[in-house]
Amino acid sequence: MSLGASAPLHIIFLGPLRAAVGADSCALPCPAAGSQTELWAALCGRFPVLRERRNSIRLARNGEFLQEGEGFAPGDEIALLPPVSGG
Amino acid sequence: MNAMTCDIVLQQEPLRSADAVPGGSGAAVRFEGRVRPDENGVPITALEYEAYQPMAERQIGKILSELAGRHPCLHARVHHRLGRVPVGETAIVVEVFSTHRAEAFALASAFMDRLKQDVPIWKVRAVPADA
Repeated sequence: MSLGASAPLHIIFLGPLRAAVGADSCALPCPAAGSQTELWAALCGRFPVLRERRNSIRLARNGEFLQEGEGFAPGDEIALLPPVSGG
Repeated sequence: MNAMTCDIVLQQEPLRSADAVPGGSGAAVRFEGRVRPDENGVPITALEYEAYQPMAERQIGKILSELAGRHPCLHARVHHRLGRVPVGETAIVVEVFSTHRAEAFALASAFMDRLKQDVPIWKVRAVPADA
């Protein structure tokens, strides 16, 4: 099945972030340019608690770390990863 | 050439040691991380872990492969427990087999440093002793 240009991003909140946000996941319209700047603006608008945490959160796109400047496409799964603490 | 094999498991069940030892290995280094009886000074009875699978498994594989380029080893085994892990029980086992000890020590140590930076596993809750 192909995803149309209007397919939303599937956002998931992981680890301790889930409790802070108060949600496991949400759908967000894919920003027009598919940039991280646009995504963060949309996320912080919907979940203000993310503003103060933004600098410590890494993004993953479809299970791979999103690199600086890398964008995304409609239908992607975007995971918000707070600082890890395994081991 | 990097020919190191890997055995990576994230599981809810208690962790066990490997039974099989790779042929040709002259050194085996084992690190076991256990749950301490306090978290940030507060007495606890357990920690709860969760992971973003399968990204966590892929990341572990990538890190091991990258480190094997610098520290050639024969085999690495990384098993991490998820869910509730009581105090004193093992949360992670890292076993590294190599021809000589230096490579196994180096890879095991470097891997644990990277795990704590780049593998999406979290302690999501410390269960207080008075809970």
